[in-house]
Amino acid sequence: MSSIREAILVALEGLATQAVIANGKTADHVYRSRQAALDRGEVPALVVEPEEEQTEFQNTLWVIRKLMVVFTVFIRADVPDTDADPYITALHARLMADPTLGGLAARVIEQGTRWNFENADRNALGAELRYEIKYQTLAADLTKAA
Amino acid sequence: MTEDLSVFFADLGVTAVYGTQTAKVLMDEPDEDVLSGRMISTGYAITYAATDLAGLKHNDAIIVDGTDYQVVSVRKQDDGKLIRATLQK
Repeated sequence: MSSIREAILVALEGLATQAVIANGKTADHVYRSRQAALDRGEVPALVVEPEEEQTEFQNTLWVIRKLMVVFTVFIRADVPDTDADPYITALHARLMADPTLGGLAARVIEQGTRWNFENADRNALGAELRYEIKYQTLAADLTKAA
Repeated sequence: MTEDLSVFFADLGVTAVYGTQTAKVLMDEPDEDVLSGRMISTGYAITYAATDLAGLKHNDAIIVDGTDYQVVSVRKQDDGKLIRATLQK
């Protein structure tokens, strides 16, 4: 049985897919935890990956978890931050529409955005959006919400 | 002694057209990693004699071997007799 964490990441990947489709691209422009370099035909792309999780011990029964998730919009354009903006806007709207992710989480909290540029064939951009997903599980079982 | 750079471009060179100027250039287009290896990009570049393609600069349009490109940067190489210009499609 999968952990609540994995269920959250699957839900987030679904929202990322919706955001990409809203921008006229197909679901195969969304990747979960992809580390292999994206080729020209694969961008724009939206990669969803967990970065770290911190825990707050509450008692012997349950734990509060803070999962940091990074969404990275990879794009190539003359002004790539402008071209990435509709993807960022669509994703954020979907995350904020139900910040409990269907009851999996207590809250989705925006942490910030970082734009990493590099001169390439056209300007390349990896825009990283960080969100903290706060949720609870039983202390002894990652698959059981508390 | 004066170097004859035309020999350098004769065999492997391709034709570049910049405005009304035409020259033989060496074309490179290796794939390279960008953004810490998360994306692949093609590093289009030409090398040509400094006596050719006078005035070539950032954002200019150039046709190399029949393909349209835009100039990204222009830099002298070593003793300045050769110039390398990076391009994008």
